[in-house]
Amino acid sequence: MEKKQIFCGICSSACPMDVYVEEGKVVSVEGHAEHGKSRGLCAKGAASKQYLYNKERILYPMKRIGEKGSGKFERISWDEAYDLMAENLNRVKEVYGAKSVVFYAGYPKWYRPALLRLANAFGSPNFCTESSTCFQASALAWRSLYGNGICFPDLAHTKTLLIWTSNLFHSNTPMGKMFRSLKERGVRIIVVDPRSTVTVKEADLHLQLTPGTDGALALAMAHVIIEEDLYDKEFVEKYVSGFEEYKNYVRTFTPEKAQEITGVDADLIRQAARMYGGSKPSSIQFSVSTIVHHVNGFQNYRAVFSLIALTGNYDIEGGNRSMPGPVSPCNEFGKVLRYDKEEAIGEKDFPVWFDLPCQEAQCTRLADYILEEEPYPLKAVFAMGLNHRMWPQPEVMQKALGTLDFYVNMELFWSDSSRMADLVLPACTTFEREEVKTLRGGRFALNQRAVEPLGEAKNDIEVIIELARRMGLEDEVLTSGYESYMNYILEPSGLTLEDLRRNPEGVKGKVVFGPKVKTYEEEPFHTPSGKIEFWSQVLEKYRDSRGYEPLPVYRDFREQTQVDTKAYPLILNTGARKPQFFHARLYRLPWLSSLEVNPMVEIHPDDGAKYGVLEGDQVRVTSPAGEMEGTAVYSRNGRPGVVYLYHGNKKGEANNLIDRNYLDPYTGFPGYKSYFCKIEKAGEVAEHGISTEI
Amino acid sequence: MAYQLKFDPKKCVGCYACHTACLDAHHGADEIHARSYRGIQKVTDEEKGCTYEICPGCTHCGICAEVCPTGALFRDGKYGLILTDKERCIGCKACERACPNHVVYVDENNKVQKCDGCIDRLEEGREPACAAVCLLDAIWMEKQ
Repeated sequence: MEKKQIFCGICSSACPMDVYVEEGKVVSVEGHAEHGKSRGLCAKGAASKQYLYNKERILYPMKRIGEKGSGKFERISWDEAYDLMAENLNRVKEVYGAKSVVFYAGYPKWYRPALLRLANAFGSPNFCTESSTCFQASALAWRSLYGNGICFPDLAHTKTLLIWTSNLFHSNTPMGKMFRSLKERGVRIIVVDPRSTVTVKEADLHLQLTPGTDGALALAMAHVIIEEDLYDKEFVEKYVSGFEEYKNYVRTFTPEKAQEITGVDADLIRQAARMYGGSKPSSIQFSVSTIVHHVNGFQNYRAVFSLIALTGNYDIEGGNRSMPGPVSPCNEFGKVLRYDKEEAIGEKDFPVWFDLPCQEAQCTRLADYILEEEPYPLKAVFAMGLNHRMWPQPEVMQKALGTLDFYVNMELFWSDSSRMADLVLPACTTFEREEVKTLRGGRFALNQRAVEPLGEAKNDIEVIIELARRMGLEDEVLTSGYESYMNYILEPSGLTLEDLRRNPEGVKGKVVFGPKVKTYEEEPFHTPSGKIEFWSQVLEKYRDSRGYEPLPVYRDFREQTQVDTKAYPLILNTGARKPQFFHARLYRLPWLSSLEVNPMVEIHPDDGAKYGVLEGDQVRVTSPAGEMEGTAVYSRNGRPGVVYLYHGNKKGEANNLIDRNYLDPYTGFPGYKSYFCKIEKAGEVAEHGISTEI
Repeated sequence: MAYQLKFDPKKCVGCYACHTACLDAHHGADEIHARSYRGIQKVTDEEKGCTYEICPGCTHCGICAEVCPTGALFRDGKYGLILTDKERCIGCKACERACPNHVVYVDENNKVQKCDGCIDRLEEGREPACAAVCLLDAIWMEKQ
């Protein structure tokens, strides 16, 4: 039996994994062993064999032969597939212009720079990704304040850690041991979370807020910090723009007022503010999207992020640091600029995306753009990993995809979104391809091929390179081939692919910067004012035209909506991480999907009693946008009045319930985590066998 | 020498990694109905007002072997693990009733099923799958 080391690609953490291979097949997987001890894996990684050898894997290029969406395909050669793509994409370009072709990157993210290059070379401004509903709004909220990329907590040196809505034991399992070591070191831990989770259980303080009210909580903490003189006057005076306006605004957010809004006890808010503001260095641990999946999410996150500058915890040891460890420079990810000479989709609706900017178009309203031909006709989609279940009211997205002249999806699995395509291409997992990985600490590694690709599955970037060649598109990096592309990524680090091949566990770049503190003393903040903008000049521009507020203003979702909250009295919160799932992609792994009843509708027993739903009942959840059914499970971890669902499940789709116009006006992010619903007992009790369906 | 597979429920957060790694170690990807030798148990922390899950497994304590009337469960000589001899099993379920962690069971063929401590891996000098996968060191093999 042979042992090979790869990096898990199911989520973005890239955990190193030892793969045991016999006769070209994976026998078992383990977390990579260091000094004779495996570092472990999460449940998702441990189930990799069912991911790699899933019977729903797409194995060959398949061309649609039946009606759109009929699922009738025939196998064609890669050669025919390239010709088909070149012919159709070029035809759409000739008739409607290059911008009528949308280039879309789903999950995972590794091939994005190459796909952006393809879109640029093709001449379309419409490169967009699944970040249209994930993470990007968090990054933009940060950039609107600090002008750079999100600064993570310097956990090694922090004294107080404020974890803002992250159940890291389930969402970032490999971080668990580090978290516990903080406790042993005496770090004080505050967790903000609507539920009592396993992470909350080990914290010193729990602020149990109503979903979507994060902004009000952060503003009240700021109120206490300013009122009790716990803020860093010198830092604020020197580096913050708009402090006086901010101070006047937070004056109205007393802990008592915040208690009414958030449901968190006023004294607890005071205690948390004193703990975070009073025992420096303090840092904040974020999560990817929980705060921005609310219709006031962008501003709520700005309010949370402001606390860092307010208390002078920005870019200091133990605070939130721009460069807490060494980094080695590389090309590609985040470095390729989007072609922006023409209007992109989403530009009129969400100008902040393009002003701050984030080098991708905003496709949260893609279904409507296609169906309404807004702002111009969109006739083809070249997608990698597109899953319509990501969007609110996914069936509208599916319908829109069905109206396109040409739609290609490169995927691992036969998802419903792939069945709607005209051409389906087989993608590789990280078990089957080489890939340059950027690791922490300025290190790089080459993901090895553990087994040969299944069927005729290919590496996404190799497909992009070949398609560009067939279409005669010019790009200095793509045209030189994959081997050279990987070397290009490494170039600034001083390493070559050969260095990586010689060091399968990874190797440190030859060019290394940092760690650093107080980088702002060397160069100004990359914001319009050159300072940290509590008062955002980018937002101020749209004050009259769009009603954007330059300050991190709190607007309550319960007051903003037209929804009849008497008819839909419960708050709907979808997508809170579970240890066994990652979006829609793992339901088809029976070892994982059989761990709990699914779909699961988590309700508080008080709500069960109120609406006549017993534990184990089949329950119907209805919102103004749609409905789904699942099995009721009682939990006292959340407060009464909130229903919790996981998304992306074909057997009961939570996103059916989210109105596709229920969006944060700043970022276009759907309010997945604070919409409205009602529950009732459904007629029949469905079978809950193990599902191997997509 | 006796090996014991230790489990600290206080360290467990119910991430299911051991539950899944056990399946990976003993089954092929197509065995979709395979059952893990690790269980899932709901526990409540009254003080914190939080209900969560833990994944207990066999500690090779030997209670099942003690109650087995036919010797189908026995302690192996080399590692001290409790192993099964399916030929001898009569499917009486005495073991199932006696197991304090509810991780020994009689399958659809009326034969006892339980954790084998990943004895094949121990022979290769590796850890049991559940101990190797646990990110929080809640499971470990201890030599007594």
